[in-house]
Amino acid sequence: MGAGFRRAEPRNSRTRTGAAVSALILSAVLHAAAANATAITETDGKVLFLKSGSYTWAQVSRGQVLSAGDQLKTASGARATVTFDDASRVQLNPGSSFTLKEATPQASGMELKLGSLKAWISKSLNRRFQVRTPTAVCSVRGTEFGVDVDPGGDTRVQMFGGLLAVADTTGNEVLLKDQESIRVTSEGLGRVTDAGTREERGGDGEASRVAKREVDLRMSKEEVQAAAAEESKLSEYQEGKALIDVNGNRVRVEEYIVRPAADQFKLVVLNERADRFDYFFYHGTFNQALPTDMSVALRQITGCLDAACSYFMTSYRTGRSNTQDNMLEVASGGHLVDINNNAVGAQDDVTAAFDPVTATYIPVATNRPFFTTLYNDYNLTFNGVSHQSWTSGVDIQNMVSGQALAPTFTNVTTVRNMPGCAPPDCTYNEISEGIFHDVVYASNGDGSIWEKYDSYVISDEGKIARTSDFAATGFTGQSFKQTLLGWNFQTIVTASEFQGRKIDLVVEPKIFIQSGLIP
Amino acid sequence: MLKPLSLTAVLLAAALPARAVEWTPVLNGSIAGGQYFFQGQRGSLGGNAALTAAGMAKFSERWSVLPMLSSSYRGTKGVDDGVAAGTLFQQQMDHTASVTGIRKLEGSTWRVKPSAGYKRQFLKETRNEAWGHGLFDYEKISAGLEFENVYKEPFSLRAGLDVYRVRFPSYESLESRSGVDPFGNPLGRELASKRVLDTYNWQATVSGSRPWPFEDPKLVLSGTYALLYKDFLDQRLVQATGQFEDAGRKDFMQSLGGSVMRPIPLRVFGGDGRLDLSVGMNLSYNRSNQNTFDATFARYLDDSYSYWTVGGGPAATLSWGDQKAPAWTSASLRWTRQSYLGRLVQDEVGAYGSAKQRHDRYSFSLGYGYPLAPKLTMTFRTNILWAASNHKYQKNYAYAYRAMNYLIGVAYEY
Repeated sequence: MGAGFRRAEPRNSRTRTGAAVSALILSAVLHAAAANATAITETDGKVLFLKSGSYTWAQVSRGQVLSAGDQLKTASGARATVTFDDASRVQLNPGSSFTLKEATPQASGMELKLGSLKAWISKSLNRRFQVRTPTAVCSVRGTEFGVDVDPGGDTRVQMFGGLLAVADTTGNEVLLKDQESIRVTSEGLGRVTDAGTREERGGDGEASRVAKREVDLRMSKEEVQAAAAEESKLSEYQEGKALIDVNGNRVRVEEYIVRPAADQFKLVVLNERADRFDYFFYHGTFNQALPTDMSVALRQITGCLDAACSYFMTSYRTGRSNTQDNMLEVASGGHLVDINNNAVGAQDDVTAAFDPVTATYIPVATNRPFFTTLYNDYNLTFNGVSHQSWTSGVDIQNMVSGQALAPTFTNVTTVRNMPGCAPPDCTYNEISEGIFHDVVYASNGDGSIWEKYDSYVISDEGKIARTSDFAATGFTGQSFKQTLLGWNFQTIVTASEFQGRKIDLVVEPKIFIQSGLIP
Repeated sequence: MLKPLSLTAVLLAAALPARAVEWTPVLNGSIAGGQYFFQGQRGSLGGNAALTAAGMAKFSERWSVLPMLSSSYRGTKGVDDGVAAGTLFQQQMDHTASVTGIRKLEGSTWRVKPSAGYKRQFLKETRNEAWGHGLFDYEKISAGLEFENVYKEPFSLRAGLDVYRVRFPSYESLESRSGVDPFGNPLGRELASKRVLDTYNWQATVSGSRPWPFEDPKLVLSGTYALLYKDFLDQRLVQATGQFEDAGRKDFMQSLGGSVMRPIPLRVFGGDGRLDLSVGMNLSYNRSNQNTFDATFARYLDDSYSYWTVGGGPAATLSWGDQKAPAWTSASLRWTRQSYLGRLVQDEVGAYGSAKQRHDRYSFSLGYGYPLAPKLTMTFRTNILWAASNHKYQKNYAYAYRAMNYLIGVAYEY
């Protein structure tokens, strides 16, 4: 069984090889025959073929050899190319009805009853090429032309190159030259006119139209895809992550809250410009674990009206840095005090409180209970050098220097005001010049230790606020503070310890207000 | 053994007939100057220019290839652009290269069109941004496959799938680079993402156009339905506590659009003219799994990137004169409403309300074209936008404003 199979295998293999070679030879012979005959060399869409003498139309495909009397029809959107043995070719456009009348070495003849064709005719001295329509006969040697036949039989012939003789059914004839066209009707030849632009000349015009359409489609697709990228960018803007500072430079801003422990939060603001990175942070520890919705606790940081806050901070660390220098504030021993009803009377009373829920300042009447957090110990440092601090062994009840239950202050630097000093190293503002630019300068006695806060109120576009922007609200009080919320603060901090460097931050004022840095 | 390049050449030679390639060039160019106005502020005079060069290389009745290069520069802001920082100063440059293959299927009116493209957009919005280093510069690499049935020129049915990656090379989150504070504690959150804007996008589109009635058309109907799945490569979801979870952001957008166009032949200035009237509408729905946490107010906003958009409006173009180079004038009006599903309104100072954000935009455009020479047209366009919103907090981004621009120039089309 196995031996028989082994003997059979080479024989079968040879048979298959022989069949393949035969098929190849046959294919080559047929291909050669097609190459030397009139045949359909391209089809696109529904192209029907009626063999001479037959009554049945059938779909035709590439390679079909045509004989005299064979007919072709192209459906809407379909095309076919007929190539002759001398490489002349005719392209049938959609909706055309075509009959091959003659295909010999001496002459190629065809009839176009309806539709349009474009012909590229090889130059030959011995061969006649003729296209008949219901109203015209086009005879040519070596040229490129197009023929359109409308349902009424009227014919339009357009010349693209060479010479073409066009005759009507009564025998009148005219010679078309390059770029000329003529209309032929049942009444005879029309007037020879300019063939017009490349676009209206059929073949090339159609190619151009198709190419333009594809370009338009591609451009539309690009627009759709670009919209997706644009949306990503806009969401960053909408969240306020890209601003412009007072110098016209881009500032990227990111603000977020970190939760280092159950009773802690850390508000972080990052600023990046092309050549620098600055940040602000506020790290607070509360009296109890924070809820999932931190806003419940955070909105109590600035104080509580009428009743003691359920959440208050016992300590905090806040700072600004340019990644090299830093300005840090550290406070501990936080406890609640009804500041409007403590022993020092109205000296430290709160008369307007910021309501984080509505982001508005609300008035506070005298002696209305207002609970705020006071810290027993505090230290402000610049690169580790203390500029201001206080301390107390017991829970302080006020911040008024010299009063009972107030802390003991150590002020290395004190704020310097005019006329004891003059700008730029002095405390001053440019409100009178119509600009919201404010400078606070503090130093020790001999000026060897100092700090300076250079602050601008700016728009998102870096425009410095003008006093005219606040004309309606005035420059003090609740409505002034309210208007400030619509702007940004840019604060540039310099200090004797920074060796000429600066910390340059753009933040929303709410950040500083909520942090208690702006009363 | 054949090297890959040689193999490609052999395959290409085998696939293509020996006869010469028919080459059809397409060249579109335009240059215009104009100005942008925003709430009474006037931008400086700027210029726009665009050039598209393409060529249809027809290798056979079946195979064509369309390589295309397109570049544009824009110095005058468009009214549809978002208004945020850098409102009046903006310069944008686009460069796109693409290639589309067109394969006609034998015995049918179907075409298969594979395509690939690369785009780079440069944006300068501030004085310290240089070309190539803009924060929001992006690059896009795309590939697609489309099937089109041109059942009756120029009407067709199309179905396609596109995949593209959008990358913002200059944009990384600051948080991912924040390091530690002076006390040695991390400044960033756990799982902080880095390339938060970069996306992979998969888009499936079905569209079509048809004359109506089919044999003796009076109207042209067209419609499009698209599905876009947007996968953010490195943007983690924000939780109610303001911290990140491991899962990433994914958006799923569906869009439906349609239009009806009515061409009306008429006499204009004693000659033949045409009035094209059209009305269009669009509807889209973006479903996102991302939320936001507003650190300033310690406010968590669930589902803040999902929205509905609905829009529509009429347009008209009147053309007259030489059919090959007609004069034309056009006008269009469009209304668009974007309604967020979870994003809450804020008042002028940022306090949150209970209503969801809703933004309306009304735009009106006028245009005029006058043929100066064959293929060369002088153009004038002006666009006016009126934006309104129930969201009043506009410190970062404008939602309610008026803007206008105008552009005068010439357009060339070969």
